Amino acid sequence: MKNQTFPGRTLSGRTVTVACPPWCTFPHHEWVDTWAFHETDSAVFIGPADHSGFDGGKPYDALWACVSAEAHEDGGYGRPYLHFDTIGAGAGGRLDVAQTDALLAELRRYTGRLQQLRDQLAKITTEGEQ
Amino acid sequence: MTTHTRTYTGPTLAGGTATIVCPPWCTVDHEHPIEGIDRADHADDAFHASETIAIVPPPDDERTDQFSIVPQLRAYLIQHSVDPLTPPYDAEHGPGTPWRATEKPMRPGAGIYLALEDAGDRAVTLDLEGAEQVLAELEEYTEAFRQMRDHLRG
Repeated sequence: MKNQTFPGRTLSGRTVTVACPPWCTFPHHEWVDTWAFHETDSAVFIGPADHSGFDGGKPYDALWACVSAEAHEDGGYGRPYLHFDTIGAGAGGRLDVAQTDALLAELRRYTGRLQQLRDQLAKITTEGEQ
Repeated sequence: MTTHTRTYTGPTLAGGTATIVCPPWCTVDHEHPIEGIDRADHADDAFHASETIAIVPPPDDERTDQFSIVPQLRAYLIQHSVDPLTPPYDAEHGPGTPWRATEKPMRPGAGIYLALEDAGDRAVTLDLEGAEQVLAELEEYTEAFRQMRDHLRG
């Protein structure tokens, strides 16, 4: 990740030099007036397409996440949080470390159980077993 | 998954009666397959279904009042009672294409139902290859998520 600094305009009209957290990849130079958040690149789970015809059948980002922190006018930044969203549900929000760990465990648990369903499907379709 | 074995005796499409054996993972009450509708499954045209798995996000302290945090990617295994080997497919687009689980009538086969949004309006039934693609993408997402988690310590 790059370590960037940039001159930003504050809400009160001043210009300050902001040093990004080491994980920030947000293109602040493209958003001179709205540098209020530092962000990482996002992680996205899209999943398979269907044939509903919406947007060419391309699914929503079913799971979305990035790390974000508020930039402060003094050049510092707030406590980083995990911005988690599920666009299909329109739900999501700011997760702290404990909530992030809980969701990470949930993702791993779900993947394991989906693997079990896949293995059971393999038995049905390739071995004729129920 | 549960391990008990159940049988179901019910009407057939042709007007007779038949008994089917549920696979050990089936959780469907075939006598009352749809809540609120008093119609038993046809024994020769029923779907067995496993319990539902889902990703349940943790409550969000700041926004719980405005947004419900709902289970995501609900999924379960389905298997037709007499023809589990016909791959489920999209009726309009033909064999080999993903099948929209919301289409009626449901077609014979076996697969993994996957809801892509909470409303269930956008859902597919995965074959083996589709399930493996979803698993690979989930593992990629989880790894990216884990790396992000490490940034929160700073």
